[in-house]
Amino acid sequence: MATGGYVGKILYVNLTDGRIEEIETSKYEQFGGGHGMGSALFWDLVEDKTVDGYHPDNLITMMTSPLSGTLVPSASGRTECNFIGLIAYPIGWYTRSNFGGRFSGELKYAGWDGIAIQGKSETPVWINIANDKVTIEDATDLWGLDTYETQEEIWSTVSKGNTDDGTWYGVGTGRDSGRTLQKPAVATIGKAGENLNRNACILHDAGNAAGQGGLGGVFGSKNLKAVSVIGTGSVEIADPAALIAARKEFQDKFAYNVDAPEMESPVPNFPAYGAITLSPGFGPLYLPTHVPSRPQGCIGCYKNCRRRLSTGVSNEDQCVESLFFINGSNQIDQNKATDLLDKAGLNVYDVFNHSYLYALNQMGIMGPGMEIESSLPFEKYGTIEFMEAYVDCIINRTDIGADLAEGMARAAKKWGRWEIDTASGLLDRPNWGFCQHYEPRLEVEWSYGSILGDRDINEHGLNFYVHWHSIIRGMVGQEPAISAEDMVNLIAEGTGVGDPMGWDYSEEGIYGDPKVQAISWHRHYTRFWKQSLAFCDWAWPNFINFNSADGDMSGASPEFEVRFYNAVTGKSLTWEEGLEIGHKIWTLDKAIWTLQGRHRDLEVFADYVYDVPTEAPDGLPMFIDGKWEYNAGLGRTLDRDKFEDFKTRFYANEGWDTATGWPTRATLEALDLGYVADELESNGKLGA
Amino acid sequence: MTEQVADIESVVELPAPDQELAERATRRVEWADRFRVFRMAAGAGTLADDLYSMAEIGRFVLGTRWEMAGELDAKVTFNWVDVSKLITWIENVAGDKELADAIAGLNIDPKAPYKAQVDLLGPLLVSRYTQYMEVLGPETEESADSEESEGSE
Repeated sequence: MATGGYVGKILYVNLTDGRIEEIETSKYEQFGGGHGMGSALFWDLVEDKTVDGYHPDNLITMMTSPLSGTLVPSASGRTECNFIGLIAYPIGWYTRSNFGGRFSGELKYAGWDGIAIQGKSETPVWINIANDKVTIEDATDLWGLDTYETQEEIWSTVSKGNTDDGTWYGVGTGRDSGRTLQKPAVATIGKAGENLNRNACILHDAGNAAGQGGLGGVFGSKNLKAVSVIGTGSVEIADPAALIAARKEFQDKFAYNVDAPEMESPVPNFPAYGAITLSPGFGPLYLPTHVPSRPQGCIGCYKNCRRRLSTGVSNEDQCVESLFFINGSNQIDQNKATDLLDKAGLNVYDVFNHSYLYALNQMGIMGPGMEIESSLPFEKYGTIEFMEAYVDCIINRTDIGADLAEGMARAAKKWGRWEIDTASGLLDRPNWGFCQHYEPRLEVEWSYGSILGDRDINEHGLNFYVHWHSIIRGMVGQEPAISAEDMVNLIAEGTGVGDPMGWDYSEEGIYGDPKVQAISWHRHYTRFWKQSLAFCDWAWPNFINFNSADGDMSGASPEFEVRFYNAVTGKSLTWEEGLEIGHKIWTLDKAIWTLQGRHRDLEVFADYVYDVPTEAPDGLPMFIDGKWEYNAGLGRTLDRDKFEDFKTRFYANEGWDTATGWPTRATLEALDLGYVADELESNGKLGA
Repeated sequence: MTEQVADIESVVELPAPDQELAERATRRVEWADRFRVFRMAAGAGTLADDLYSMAEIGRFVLGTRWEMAGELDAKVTFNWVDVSKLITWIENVAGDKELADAIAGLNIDPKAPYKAQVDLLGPLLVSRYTQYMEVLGPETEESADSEESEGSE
């Protein structure tokens, strides 16, 4: 039992009958927090795990970790959400998404380790959490408001307007109920969620979104507009001195030194370089210098990768949402387009392929009087006017938006384009209908992890090293800051896998046994350390130190994840034990997908991944002719037979049936998941 | 696109194109003749896009001009084109063999840092586009700019 980190109880809210109950956190503490606890709760609370994402029995968990709301750097501000998703194709897998900001900290300060929401209200509601007081409020007047308007209304309601003069917020009505300088942390849907879009997200503050999976549509299906939380408590730390010491040492050794940086972009105003140096505010591409801005971060962060701008447009957007209108003619309009998504609560990654729609228009297939009828102003493609019309039609389900609200994959299927366009790559959706993120034929821990899981994994921890480091240096005419050989050696050592060939992205390396070990490590690491303990994806793991002052480029991982966790909780967990918990959570998820209909025959990529060679250069470490090098990987396709053979060896490594990909009883029992084996067996889906 | 580059003095000037070539090279092409390009963005990976005219391609190449970062209304992304495919496209689709040969003559190393590649390629594209506009007249340039601003780039 831990002495710190957890606050002791999980909130359960049933919107069908209005039940508000407490669940003891200790029952689920073996799963760490976040995703692991969410999956364990899902298993216990959702009797029929095959229900559709829109079904009232679908459970939404919004979980913190023992590190949330503490001073652990870049591990304090993420909230992990689990639910049956809406967007994956052809089956809406049980899935996850998380978001940053202040929500998880406020939840801990209010005395909750997480929230589990089930059922469906007959009328629009929002959940109001102020310390121990939890109420289900009428949201009739909020329905129809955008995400920013909704948050402002709830802030006003909860704080009762007592902050106009800058004084502290009162929580509750009594003196002893506490005071805080924080606004309530609100996660809300916009119009897209209200209209049950499969591609709707939830948004918190200006730019924190849980996007992939369609959580906004799940909120909407429950008539749940928002969840608000404010707290005035604190989080007990088992060893505060150890935590402070670890944070200071971490900051000194690994953070970007704003006064005297060890490495700096040779090109001014080149934020992408911060992916290497971890400099503040590096996220949102190029910002016009006539728009003042300052870095902003999630609670507890040491990097602060976002920015707030004097215009207030596109605040806190630092990832793919800021690239929604990347083909626009100027940055101002690009930022405006991002705001359209934020306010509507629309997940950028599903609507990213507007160039695909334009291609259909140019092919004479989509447009007025064409095979796919649409009155979208394609003659204005490339302008903000087009983007406004595009977003408007999706969130209001008009024109082709009626199809696109079901997600790009389902829309393409309805139009009769899915098979032909994913075969050619015109529609580059490699796995489960999700948008291509990083090159699936080359950066395989991304693509393999995605197809063996439930979504585009969106896990950048290795990606910043193996992919972005050499490309970003090359963008500005620099050689890599570290050789390919030194890079893979540091990663192999840091992960504990040991064999650098696990990070060989050559034609042979992507199918080898070392790659099996590397992919397995990645699935286990992310499931526990990132998604259950909520170490931020944009900061952890830290295997290579580009800010080293003494030339030693060894990173903070695995030492510091372990030190931080143990300082907060008072436990003595090892890195390897954490990875084994990750294996347990990953296998539990696999069991849920198995019940939903997963079979190894479904775990295949879109045809273009196998049949169409890569055309754009990458910069991944490859072992070729006996030497390590960064290689462009042009002309690469995946080999179907070799990938199938890889899957067989991967399943065996995980302890899953190689014929079906289903977990076996022996594996489940070894992971203390015998009850999961029983349910799989009763459904005829236990691996042999 | 002509106003976006100043340092074109060092570019070898090609013989002026005739009216027919200028019109052909600057026309908007059909989907079947599109030119595929790629943007590289740290948050989203490598993004493919299709361009439909010489003006769009020029703007795209010049998009990687670091000195413009931060200027009012500037838009700078890391854009990549396959130079060998561009040479083929310019010769076979745009129909400007002289420009294609001139680009080939630059001997751009495909393994060189991309900044070095576009520093060579960009001024030549601008110089040639300026020649097209001189042949076609200022009204055409204005019209072309207006039309292209409504295109994909």
